[in-house]
Amino acid sequence: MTFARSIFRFLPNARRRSRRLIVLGTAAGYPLVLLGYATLVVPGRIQLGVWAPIALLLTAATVVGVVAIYGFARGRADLGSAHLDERQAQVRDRAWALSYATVVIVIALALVGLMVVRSSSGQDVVLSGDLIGYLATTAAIYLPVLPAAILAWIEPDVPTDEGERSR
Amino acid sequence: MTRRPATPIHNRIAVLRAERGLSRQELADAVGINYQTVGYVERGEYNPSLDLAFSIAAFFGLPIDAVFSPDPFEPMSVKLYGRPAEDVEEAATSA
Repeated sequence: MTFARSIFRFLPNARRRSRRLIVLGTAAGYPLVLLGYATLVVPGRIQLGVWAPIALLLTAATVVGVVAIYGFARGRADLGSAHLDERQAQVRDRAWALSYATVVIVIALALVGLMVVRSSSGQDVVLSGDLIGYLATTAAIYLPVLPAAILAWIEPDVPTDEGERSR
Repeated sequence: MTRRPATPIHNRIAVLRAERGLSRQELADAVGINYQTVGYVERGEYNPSLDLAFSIAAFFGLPIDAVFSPDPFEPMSVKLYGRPAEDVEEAATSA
């Protein structure tokens, strides 16, 4: 309980370096699970039993990261937030604009990747039910948290002041 | 990714707070902003809106140009006691 309370207090004032590490861990976790499954387990390079604990750890990194990001943002990335001051609203709007840019870049890179795979292997990329499921899960995990993650990434460190240190 | 304003607005908020023994939180509460925003304004990492700048100046009971300026403020000690002798000599030599 004390640990949870100290984490709850730490997150909003976390240094930017820590926040960026959390964002990177969150972003890498679930896609690595899918990539590892597709490139290691499906071709039979490693057993599913060996991969399962690694996949569990990577999924946990994403889940814990998402919780930590929401713990940092605390509603500051929500468009409907009425309690933000002018600077916080400006940073939130920038986070949303960068989120849109991030989604566009990821989609563009995915399309280029598909074109490269298709031209190098000569095979059509089939949009199977499984693939749609993976894409939908990834979107469901990352799209809602994206503005908060960008906020955690861009927000500068909190200026310290003798008055605030004791608070 | 930190974006400092292209033309930072200089301010005397930290000095005025110190004179009055105010914390950032107290100033923030008085003008209706987050205490972190006070810190970013003090450090020149965020240029306040006109509305906020006027609120802060009004809180200190000073004209806005006594709190904010596009040019760096002269230190209060220099204003009160003039420049140290070496600086004056240096200025005279370079002129």
